Amino acid sequence: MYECPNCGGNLRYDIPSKMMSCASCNSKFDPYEVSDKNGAQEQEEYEVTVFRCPQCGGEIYSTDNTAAGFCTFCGSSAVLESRLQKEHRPKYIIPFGQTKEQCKKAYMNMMGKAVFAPKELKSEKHINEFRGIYMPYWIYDVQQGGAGVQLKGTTEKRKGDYIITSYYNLNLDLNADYDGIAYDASSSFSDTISGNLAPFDTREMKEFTPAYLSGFYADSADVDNSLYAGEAEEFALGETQKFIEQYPNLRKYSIEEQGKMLQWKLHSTVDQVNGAMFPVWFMAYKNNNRVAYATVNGQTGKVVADLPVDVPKYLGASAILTIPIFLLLNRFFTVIPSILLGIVAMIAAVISFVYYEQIDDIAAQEGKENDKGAIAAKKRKQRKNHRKAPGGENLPPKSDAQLAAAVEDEKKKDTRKVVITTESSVVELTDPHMAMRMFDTIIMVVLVAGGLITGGVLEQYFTRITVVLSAVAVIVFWFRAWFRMDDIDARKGRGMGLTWILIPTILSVAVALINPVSDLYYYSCAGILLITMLIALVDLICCYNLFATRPLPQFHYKGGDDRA
Amino acid sequence: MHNKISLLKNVSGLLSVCLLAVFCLLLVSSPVMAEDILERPDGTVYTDETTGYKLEIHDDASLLEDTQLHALVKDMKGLVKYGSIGFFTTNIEYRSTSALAHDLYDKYLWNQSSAEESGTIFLIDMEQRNIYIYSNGVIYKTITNAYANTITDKVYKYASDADYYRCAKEVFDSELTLLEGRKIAQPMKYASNIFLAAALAILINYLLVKLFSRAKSPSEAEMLASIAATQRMNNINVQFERESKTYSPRSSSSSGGGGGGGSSGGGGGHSF
Repeated sequence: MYECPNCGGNLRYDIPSKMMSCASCNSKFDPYEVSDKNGAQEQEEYEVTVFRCPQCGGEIYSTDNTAAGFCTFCGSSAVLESRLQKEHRPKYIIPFGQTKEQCKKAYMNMMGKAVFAPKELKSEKHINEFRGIYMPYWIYDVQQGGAGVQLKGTTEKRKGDYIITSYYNLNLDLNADYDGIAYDASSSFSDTISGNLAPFDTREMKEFTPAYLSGFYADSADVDNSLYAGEAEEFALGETQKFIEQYPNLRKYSIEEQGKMLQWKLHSTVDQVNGAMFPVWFMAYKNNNRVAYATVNGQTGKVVADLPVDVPKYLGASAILTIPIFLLLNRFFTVIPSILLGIVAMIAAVISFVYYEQIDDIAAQEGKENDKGAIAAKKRKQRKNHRKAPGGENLPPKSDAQLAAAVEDEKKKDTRKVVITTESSVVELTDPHMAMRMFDTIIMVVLVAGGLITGGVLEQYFTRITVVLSAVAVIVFWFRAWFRMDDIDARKGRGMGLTWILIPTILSVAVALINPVSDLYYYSCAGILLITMLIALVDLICCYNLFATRPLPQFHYKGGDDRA
Repeated sequence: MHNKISLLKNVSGLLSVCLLAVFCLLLVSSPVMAEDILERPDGTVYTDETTGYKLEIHDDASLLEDTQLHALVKDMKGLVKYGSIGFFTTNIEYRSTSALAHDLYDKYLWNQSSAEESGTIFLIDMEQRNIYIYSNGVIYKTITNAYANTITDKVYKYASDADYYRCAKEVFDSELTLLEGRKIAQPMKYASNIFLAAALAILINYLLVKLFSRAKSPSEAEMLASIAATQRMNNINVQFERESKTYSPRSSSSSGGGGGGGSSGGGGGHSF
């Protein structure tokens, strides 16, 4: 706690004036002067008060010793335990530029558009719980280029039935520096949130002084600074390549070198890595065993929030939307029962696709499969446990970067490439998740478009073709969702809404193949399928709410999350 | 006894007079009845002199009795003011019931009068066990494919029960209802549409929620603008090295020509 030199009152950082302000006498002081007087500016470490939530074990700290009565991580109302601790000082800080009032306004602007959000998320009481937290980041400076860089360039032109490719040697002097590429350094701070909250303008970073933390909280860095070095270099590499290819004299050349080869030819290096603190307004909304986070970039005011859906409100709105759709259908859509069955089956296939995608997204989020920081924290925990084991000879790699690289390597082993070739370009997807998603989407588009075209050309086979193809899609996506469901703890033992669609789908295949005269069979099948589709859709919304919230965190050690 | 004989004579005389009167009546009315029974409606049965629209009956599969055909003609006459009307039954093999209906319309009803093009036929195809309504011109604006399907969906069960008269009567009654601007019941359409609408509404809302809740990731340009980046290049020297030639024939495409003329109506049907 910083005392006012004039009256001894509590000094806190005042966002509008960018000065330390005394709440008692309203005196203003420069933050660096305040820190100098306290002797904090020269030391490698500084003293903080650590607040620990008794519910989830989450820890945040501050130079101030007054804690709020609720936890930022799990949203629990609890008296936070506190202790004094020494923290390693980062090099830079971006002080808060957005006041709490501005943060609330930006948040409410966003919530105004979120018509299905629970009303609690918009309540005045709730939004008052926004808390200013400095999140730890690693700042990477990347240098590329030098004198006499040699690259290979190609040009292509068509001559009749031949493509003429010309190869060139490009020699150039290049100087490309990228200072301030930022990645979040806390494993408890989701990479998705931090990625979407970006960018922070690192050109506005200031030298760190603990005085800036007064009146705010901070999370500590718990991932190795080498963890995101590769990504920082990759980003810089992409920008340099773009710069070369868009340079006026070189526009017509495509650079041959890619990835590691380009990195080597451009003499790419991470010059230095420094710690920094970035400002984030943070709020947690707890509902049963789930928590939703709302964050606002404390520098730019950009809002990133989990937006769960109020199911009754959602169903009410859907009921209202049903009326115009019903009237439109009655006006323009009258089909014979067998065609109706084919169309309903196709919609069932689309629903099964959407359902599977949602389950896949939840599983990826719950398992933090795309969160490098969380993966590193998980590996580190495994490493700690491994060391305790007797005869622990095959120890996992020591640094988080090596651990993360091991995880990346494991991922690459499973990578299936999807190559999409068009007349003018070749798109290569190496991310297996993206590749599979692309494949699924293409299959669905082919199914729906193929079904409709078949309906136009081969009317008598429309029902058989669409129903059978749709049934295959439903069964495939059901199996995939069923397997993926194992990765979602919150859904274990609850079954899947998609299962309801299975039986009427198989029944529809039988009816379509038998092709009975009586319409009753078609109407019955379509009716049952539609009812089960409604059940699956309502379950889909519940699944969405899992996706839009997170499991309550359980921290067993500082900054770590054992669910990570 | 005498009285009884006298009464019997009087009664016999009265009965004889009555029988004679009935016989005379029969003699007077028999030419009309004979015409109805003997002349089975076939071909052009009636032509509206003012509009030129006509009524065609071709029961080639002999599904209706003469009296039923006469009754059907009465039912169909109400429709003639809207266009030419045809009732056809067949048991010949044809490529499809819809094609047959189209061709029958073209042969018997289309462009056969000076009136504005308008007509509808109802065909019972015993070979393919299908019923089909085909309409064209002004009537087709009302008896659309959707309504043709709705009507045939409603009446196919009569054809299944071999009640062809009832089947045809219901078709023409329904068409008359629609042409007079009234509505016909479509309970299954409404029932299926309400479920379909509900499913689509939930799905659309879900896709909207997914679309609008997705946080916008910063673009590469935004990322670059937020860091201190320096990009400089000079002393650029480009040297040609070599050239390669790859055979890659251009893909070619062509489109087909247009279709022929003829009537451009449509319809709908149902198997039975």
